[in-house]
Formats: sequence, C-alpha cells, structure tokens
Amino acid sequence: MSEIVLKNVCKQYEKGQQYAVQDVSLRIGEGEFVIFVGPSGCGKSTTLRMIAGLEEISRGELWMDGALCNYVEPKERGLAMVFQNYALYPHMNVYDNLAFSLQIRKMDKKEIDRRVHEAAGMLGIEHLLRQRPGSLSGGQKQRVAIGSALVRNVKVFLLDEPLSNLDAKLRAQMRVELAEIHRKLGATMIYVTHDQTEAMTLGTKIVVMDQGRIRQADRPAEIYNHPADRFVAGFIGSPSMNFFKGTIRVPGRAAFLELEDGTMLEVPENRAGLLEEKYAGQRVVLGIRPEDLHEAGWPGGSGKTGHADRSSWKLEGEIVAREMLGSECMLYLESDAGDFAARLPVAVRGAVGEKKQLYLDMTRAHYFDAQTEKNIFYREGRDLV
Amino acid sequence: MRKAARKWKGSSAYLYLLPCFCVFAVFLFYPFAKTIYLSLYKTNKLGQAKLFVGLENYKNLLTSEAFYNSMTVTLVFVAIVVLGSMLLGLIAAVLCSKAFPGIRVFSTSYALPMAIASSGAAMIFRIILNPTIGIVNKLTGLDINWISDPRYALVCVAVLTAWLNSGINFLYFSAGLGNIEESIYERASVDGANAVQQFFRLTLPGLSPILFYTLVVNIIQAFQSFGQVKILTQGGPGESTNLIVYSIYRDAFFNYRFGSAAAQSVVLFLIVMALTLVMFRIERKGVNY
Ligand SMILES: Nc1ncnc2c1ncn2[C@@H]1O[C@H](COP(=O)(O)OP(=O)(O)OP(=O)(O)O)[C@@H](O)[C@H]1O
Ligand SMILES: [Mg+2]
Repeated sequence: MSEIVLKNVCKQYEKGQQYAVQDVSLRIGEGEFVIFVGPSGCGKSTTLRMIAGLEEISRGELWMDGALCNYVEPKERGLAMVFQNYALYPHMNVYDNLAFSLQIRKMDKKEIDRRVHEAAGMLGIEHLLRQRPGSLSGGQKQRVAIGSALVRNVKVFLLDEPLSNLDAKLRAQMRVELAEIHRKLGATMIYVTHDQTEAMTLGTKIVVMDQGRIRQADRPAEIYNHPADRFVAGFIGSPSMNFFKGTIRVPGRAAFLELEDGTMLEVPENRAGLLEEKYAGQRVVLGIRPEDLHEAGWPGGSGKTGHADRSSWKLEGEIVAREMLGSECMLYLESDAGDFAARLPVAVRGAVGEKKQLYLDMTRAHYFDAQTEKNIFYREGRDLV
Repeated sequence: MRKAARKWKGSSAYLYLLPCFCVFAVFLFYPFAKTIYLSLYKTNKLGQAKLFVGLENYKNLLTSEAFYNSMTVTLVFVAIVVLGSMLLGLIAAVLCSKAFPGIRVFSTSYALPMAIASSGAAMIFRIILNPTIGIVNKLTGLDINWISDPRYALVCVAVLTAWLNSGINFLYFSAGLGNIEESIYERASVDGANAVQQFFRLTLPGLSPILFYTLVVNIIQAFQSFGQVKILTQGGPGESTNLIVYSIYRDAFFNYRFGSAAAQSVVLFLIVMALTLVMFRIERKGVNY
C-alpha cells in the first residue's frame, strides 16, 4: 500500500510572506495518476517538493503509508522525481546520470546496465549515453531526467512538467509511454503539467490549483463537465470557456437569462428551478464552451424540446478573427454581450468583419454566482443533474 | 589603403599590451635574464659579474650535499603545505557552504590568514611554540622544543605555512562550491545518496576545475615560502628547514655567492615550470568537464 495523504498542508517560504501553498488537503490512493495543473506560480512545484521532502512543511501533515512523514529525509521516502529544471549531474555522462541512483545502492553492474539501456532505448537516447549533459539539447536533457527516474523501481513518481520541452510528436509518444509505464508498474504518479491534453488523457485525478489553494480535485471528466467554480471552468479546456454576464428574469412561467445586450436566453427546464427560486432578478455569469456554440440547423437547433424554446438561444456577433485548426475552425466574435469564441466545422461560412449568428447549447451551459464565482449547480463533487 | 587599415587593426592589439609588457619587462623579464646571466659567472661582493665560468656554478650545485638536502627539505615542505592548506581550505569552505547564523564571522575568520603577513604570523607562532611559555606545550602538557628540534621544526614551519595559505584556498573553494547547482544535491538526496556519497560523487567532481587551479597555485606558492622560515628558524636547526628559497637568500646576501644563488634560482624555476607543465598536460587529459 502506498497512500499519500496531505492534511491542511501549508508552505510559507519566509515569515510574513504570502503562503506559497495554503491548506492543501488531498488523498492520493495507490496507483493513482494525479495531475496538478494551475497557472504559473500557484504552488504546484512547491507541493511536489514538500511531498519529496525537499521543502519543509510549514504547517499541516503529510502521511505516507499511514506514517507521518513531515520530518522524514528525502532519501528515506522511496520516491523518484523528475525536476522541473532537470537537475542533471553536469560532470557525469548520460549513462552515469541514469545509473547514479542504482550505483549508490551498490546494485549489480549487469542489472544496472540492463535497466539503463532499457530506459535509454524507450526514451530514444541510447546514442547519447557517452555524452555529458552540457552538450545535450533541452528535450534530450529532459528525457535523461525522465530516464533517471524511471530506472528506479519505486512506488511513487513525482514528475514536474516532464514533457514540457519535447516536440509535439515526441510528447505524444512519451504520453503513451508514461501511461503504459503507469499501467505496468502500478505505481502512484504525481504529475505537474501545463498541457491540457496531458492532464485530460493521463490523469485519474486532476487537481486544479490557484494561488496556493486547491480549487477542485476530481476525475478529468468531472472537472471538465462540472467545474466547481469559474476559475476551474476557465482554466480547464482550450480554448477556454466563454463567459457572459447576465441577469435571471422570470417574466412568466419560464426563466430567462438576460445578457448585457438585452438578448433573452430561455433557461432549460432542468436548470430553471433553482435559478427561479434563488436568483430571480440577480446577476449570474453564464459559461459556455466554444464547442457548445453551433450554426443554425444543428440537431435540435429549432423548435421546442422539453419546455425551453431553443430558438431563443441565439447570439449575434461580429467576426474578428478566424483560425483554422485543421479538422475544425475557430471563430472569435465580438458582441454587446461580450466577446466569445466558437469551435465550428471547417466548412462554416463567415469572413472577418461579417456578422454571424450562432446558437448556444444552453443544456450544456454553466451558471456561476456573480459574487462568489462558484458554480451554482455544483454540490459535493457532483452536479445536481 | 584598406589593407593598411587592416594591418593596423591587427597590430593595434600589441599596443594595448604595451603597458603591461613594460611592467613585466622591468620587474620580471629583466631580472630573470640577469639571473641567468649571473648564474654563469663568478661575482664580487657587490654582485657584479666578474669571471665567466660557464656551467660551473651548476656543476658545483649538483655535486653539493647541501643542495640535495635543501631540495629534499623543500619537497617535503611543499607536500605538507599543499596537502594541509588545500584540506583546510576545502573543509572550511564546505562547512561554510550552507547558510547558518553567524556564517559571516566564520567565513571571515577562515579567510583571514590571507590578510596576515607571513612574518607576523611567524612571530606569533614563535610565542605559541615557545617551549616554556608557549600555549602548545602548556595545553598538551608536552615538553618539546618545537622550533629547535630538527624533527619538528620543518613540520612547524609547514603547518604555519599551510594555515597561512588556507585563506585563499577557502575563497577559491567557496567560489567553486557556489558554482555547483543546488538542485543536483536535491536530486541526489531524492535519489538516495547520503552526505558522504554526495561529497565524493557531486562536490569533489564539481570542484575539479578549481581544484586543479588551486593545486597549481598552491604548489608554486609553497615553493616560494620565505618569510616564515626567516623569522621562525633561519633554516635551522642545522639545515633541517633550509628551503631552497631560503638557501638562495643565504647564499646571495650572507655568503655573497651570487652566482650560486642565481644558479639555484634557475633550477627552482625549472622545477616549478616542469611541474606546472606536467599538471596542465594532465588536466587536458580530463580532470575537467
Ligand atoms: N525558494 C523559494 N523562496 C521563496 N519563494 C518561493 C521559492 N520557491 C517558490 N517560491 C514562491 O512560491 C510560489 C509557488 O511557486 P512554485 O514553484 O510552486 O510554482 P509552480 O506552480 O510550480 O509554477 P510553474 O508552473 O511556473 O512552475 C511562487 O509565488 C514562488 O514565487
Ligand atoms: Mg513549477
């Protein structure tokens, strides 16, 4: 069993300074693949370094395998780490860099050799084994750093942006490789990344951090479909979610969201109850992902389904930019309700400067409290729906 | 026209070197040439070359027992001094590589020997080592005449010199340690290396370029030690601390044998140069990274 539990862990680098990490509580089960994401400087590396034992924990508890580990030396913790800045040994060649952790354990030379070559082969750095780190490119260094963690047979891996410097192809390849290693070893992986794809595909759990605090920790699909607050909603997903300020109006039987330009969007049945009850006449923020905007004629784009009038879900804007993504196309629009982006089929018509009417799939929209920025429908890790 | 300009550009480099060259010429090249010149002559008491004798000064030197004694004493002395001063400097630098309260005081005191004149330090050591009132004998309860006993005199001078030279080594090593990235120690500790392994696998190799440089400087410096011998032992008791530099001094300014002194100087120069060349040759073969 190798469970890692953080209880209200805080880190303050200097007295009187702001907390780099604050009240982080997290349970990481054996074999989990936990991804830390968050804007630069939010405390991801710090959290990782506290788990590794490289930073003292200012307040709170760190439990590993049921034992309090706050003051256990890094070398006793039995984990492997890939550092954000690689931390290769400059005077050793790549082979020794990979073998170092095994050599100091006086492991059998043949076994070391086998493991080093296995790791090097997997990472495609076999031809570099005799070189010094100084003569390697950034991506090559990074692979050496990954390799020197992988040769170790440990239960917990800490990886701080391990693929950040690789080219797209290699990165995709390594992503698959890491998933495979995770499956094969059954080890716990704690992984920091800025890459949305890595976060969504690799993780069994995503931890979204901001300013030293955890905003939400859940399975990738949950985070994507049921973000806890506006920050998480905006941070996860690329391009990020569109937000519109609006007010809930209940003129008759149905509830409407009035945008700033006066557009009235009817709120679908399943959302209407709570909004009518608690937010009538109040300001909320509507969040909708670019892929949930459509052209006229999308299935169910007109007529009535349920009780809401879908034909009211339209918004007009002026196209300010158009981006080809390959299989899809991004449109960036400006309107009086706010700027927004839409991900549409490549065939979509509309040039820069033209007006374009798009339909919002309100069944997939999110509603955030304008004051607290919390997701109104988020409860205890699950949406009410 | 353009060609001339280019030529001027190329040779203008020498112009920049000129001031430095002048200083070297007056204080280094001229005395050196003069030394070689003198080593081929018999001189009068004023140090003027009187009679050309060719290599006779060298021949005399190489057949004299005093010279060989002086060489042996010097080599032993250099070995002790270089080892001692480098170890002292290294240990002090490693101790001061982590920040702790009061580090300023410690670093200053470790670097301080650099600022102490060798003769002044020798005076203090004379008192410390004094057989009747010296603190060494008082503390250890021994009754040894440190400076007048041929068995201990050389060691005493060598230890004093090692301490004097350790100050600059402390600075070199501190700078070298500062160049080693902190993060590799973090990685090593996660990798499972203990402090000893970290020292031998990371710190020493990381210091190797500066270690080499320090070694060369220390050897040269040790060969040239003079003041402490002059004050502490005057080459005695007997000939036991008659280092080659001191022997040169004695030959020139007591015995007025400038020719012989000059010959010894040339030999000393050759030895130091040979050592330096050998070390650079070794370095190029890969101490460095
Ligand atoms: N050694 C340190 N001393 C003082 N403050 C530090 C130190 N290391 C990090 N910090 C501060 O702690 C905060 C969190 O830093 P951290 O390195 O954990 O960010 P991060 O989430 O890993 O960012 P990035 O994505 O850029 O790597 C930052 O505000 C940073 O300035
Ligand atoms: Mg970081």
